[in-house]
Amino acid sequence: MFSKESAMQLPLKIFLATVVLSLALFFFVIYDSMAGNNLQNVPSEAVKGKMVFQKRACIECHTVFGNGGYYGGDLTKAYEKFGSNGLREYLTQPPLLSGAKKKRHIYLSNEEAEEITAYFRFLQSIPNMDWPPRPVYDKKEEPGVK
Amino acid sequence: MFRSQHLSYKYALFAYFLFGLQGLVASGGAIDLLFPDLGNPIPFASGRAFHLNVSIYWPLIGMIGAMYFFFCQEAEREFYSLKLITINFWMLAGTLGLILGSLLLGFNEGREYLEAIWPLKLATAACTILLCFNLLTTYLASDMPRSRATLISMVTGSVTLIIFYVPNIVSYAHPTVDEIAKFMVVHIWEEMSLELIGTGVLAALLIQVTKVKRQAVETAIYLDITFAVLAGIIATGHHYYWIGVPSYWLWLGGTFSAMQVLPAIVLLYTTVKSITFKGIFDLSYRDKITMFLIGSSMFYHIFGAGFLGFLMAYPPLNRYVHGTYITSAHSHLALFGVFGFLVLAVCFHILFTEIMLGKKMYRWCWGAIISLNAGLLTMGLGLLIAGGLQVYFWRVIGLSIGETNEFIRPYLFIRAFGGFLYAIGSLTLTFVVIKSIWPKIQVIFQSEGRLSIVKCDDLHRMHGLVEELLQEEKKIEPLLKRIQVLYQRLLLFDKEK
Repeated sequence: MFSKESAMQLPLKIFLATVVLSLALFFFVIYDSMAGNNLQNVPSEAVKGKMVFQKRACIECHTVFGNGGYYGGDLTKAYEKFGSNGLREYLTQPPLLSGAKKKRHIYLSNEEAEEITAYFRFLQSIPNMDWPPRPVYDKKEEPGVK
Repeated sequence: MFRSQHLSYKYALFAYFLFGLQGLVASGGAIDLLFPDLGNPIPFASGRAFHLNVSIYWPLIGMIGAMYFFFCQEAEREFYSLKLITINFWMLAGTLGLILGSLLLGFNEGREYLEAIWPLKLATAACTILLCFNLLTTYLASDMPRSRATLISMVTGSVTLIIFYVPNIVSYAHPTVDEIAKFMVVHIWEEMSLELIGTGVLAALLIQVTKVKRQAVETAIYLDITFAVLAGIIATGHHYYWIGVPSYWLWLGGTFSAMQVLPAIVLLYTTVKSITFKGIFDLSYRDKITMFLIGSSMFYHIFGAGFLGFLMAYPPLNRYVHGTYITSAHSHLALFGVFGFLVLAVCFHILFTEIMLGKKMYRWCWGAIISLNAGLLTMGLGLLIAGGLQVYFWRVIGLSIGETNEFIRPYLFIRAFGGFLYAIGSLTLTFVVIKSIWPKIQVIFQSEGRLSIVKCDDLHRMHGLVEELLQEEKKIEPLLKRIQVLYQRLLLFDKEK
């Protein structure tokens, strides 16, 4: 029994060392990604907008940074595409959803629309290696979310 | 059999119940997406949040049950606390019930997969802590070698469940930090923690079912779990490419993701090595179904998770395919394909340990699993084509999302059809399980319960032996007659004498 025990010690040691080193590397790289000036401060209006975005569960239909629901399109650069006025109009006077004859996009109050616009303005400013990519054959001047 | 194992039945049963429910809810969602005007009673956002949460919790609950079942078998002793097993079950079931109820009522934290409100996330964390406490104390008290691979993989898997969940109890002001934290659950739980737990459970099951020698698989298990940790943790980087972190994540994520195929291959090698063809035919009904489910899991592990994931994680390609239905295809194939099937396999094995699976039910099980596979493959294919077209229309020629949605509609029909097949499979399998278990349902929920004094495998073997004897009887009959004649003649001779 003892010999078997010691024979299995090496794989166990290698396994545990892999666990510890991988965790250490992972958390170090995460720390490095967030430390210093890598992450900008979020303006208070944008924080409020993020809360609206979360409370209304926008992520179930839309993606941000490409993560979320694939039905409504990506909002990472929505501010660039629509601008403050376009966004406000879209959110306070919601149009029909694509493929629908009755169902409209969710309605937001003026205040909520302002806050969420501030959030989109902030999202726009995050340096994310210019994702989403510009369409290869840009047929329209303003491709994007509608 | 240990009493701890009896207590784990309810986890397996609950996992099956949730799995059946999932098929229904998901089909509703797919239809809602195609016909937004139908007036679905559940708002799309609540339904999707429900679907995502069930998709994380049902495999988790099944895996926890499987750990309670196999860990004591591997440690060859009862759990440190039997009461905690039951308490942990009701805590988990209660937490999930509240999460699903609150989501339907519209309480949504607005973070994908982590939609539950924070007190319920705290309760989930408490559940994993209870589990770890019970596992660790049992591990320390066990007389088995400390380095037994199955024990090590289950303990490590469970401890990492807590480490990666805790940062997600709250949400953060900065969206990048939110995303960093989120994928510790969405990616690492699946690709590392559950992979370790699943490997441990699967190895314990194979040792029991195929009677493979422990020493023969021990090194392979270590190799598998070491690769799973090495690749799994840092491969999370492939979710971080475009969220606003430095560009070195492209290298880290890409390189380590490429290594993620390794554990799948080692696991396949270990499984194949432990099975012999002759052995498969000798298996009981219950174990044939279990092995078929494991086989399905292996298939998706290699193709759905391994190769598709490998291609998608390549940064230049990911830049275009990220955020489309291709990701959705991958997540269905990887999450249900790999872990769903594995959990179904182990839970099936657990539930039919003492309850006999009827011959009629056995046929229904085959039908259900074929329907599940056909449904999942159709769904995956529909989503892959829809995603591919999304990339083309959206990212290549620059149409709007509304126009793109119109073009991909037919493929979402295919997805919904696949979902329909899947739902038939999931409801049938759940029905078979619940119907077979129903007569013993009360005993399953009693902590002192004991279903039967014999194991079904023994019954099955006894049945086989009797069949064999009946076959032999035909050959024996003439021989017996000759003996009888001779015997009577001898008796007659004796009397005459």
